[in-house]
Amino acid sequence: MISLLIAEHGDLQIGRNKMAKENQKEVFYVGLNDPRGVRKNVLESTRDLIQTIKSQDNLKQIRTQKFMLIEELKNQMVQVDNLMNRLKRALPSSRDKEQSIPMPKKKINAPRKIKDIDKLEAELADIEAKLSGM
Amino acid sequence: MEDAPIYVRIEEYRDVLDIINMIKSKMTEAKENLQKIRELQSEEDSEITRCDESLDLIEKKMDFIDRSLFEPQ
Repeated sequence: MISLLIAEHGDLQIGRNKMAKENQKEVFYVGLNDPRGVRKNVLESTRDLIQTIKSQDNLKQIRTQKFMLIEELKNQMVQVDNLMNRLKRALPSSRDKEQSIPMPKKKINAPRKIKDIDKLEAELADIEAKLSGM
Repeated sequence: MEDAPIYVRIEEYRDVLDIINMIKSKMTEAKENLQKIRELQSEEDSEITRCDESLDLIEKKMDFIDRSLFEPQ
């Protein structure tokens, strides 16, 4: 008797669990007016994405090539710069000599001139003082 | 004085000519390189434009899918 009750109780519990599971698994459906269109768009988007990934890969390759070429260009410019310096050294530098000679002369002469003028002015003031005393 | 002629020793003159020739050839190489860089740059630009267009298309398609799924009639 007791075992029968337990069995019945067990069946009841199984029945309740099933109901609960069914309630949890309630399925909803959304009507699509254009299912073909949706599928088509999904496929096309996937295709476009794959093409974009391909193009990004291509971009990477282009950038690597460009970077290498820019590095090469930099090296070439450095080489040209070195050659230009060699050319400078190979050519005679007459201008530097011409300019370097008169520069110190001017610097030395300038203070002398000022001193001469001062001396002359002092002499002139002395003469004028003498003249006024006469 | 600045316009006065300068005389260069013949050995140095040859060196100068050699250096000038080397500079010329380096400049030609550099120009060719620069042209290649320009071509790659335009390739890169067109690739970026292609990516941009492709992403725009995908965006439109996703918008269509989104509208179909979340705004049912």
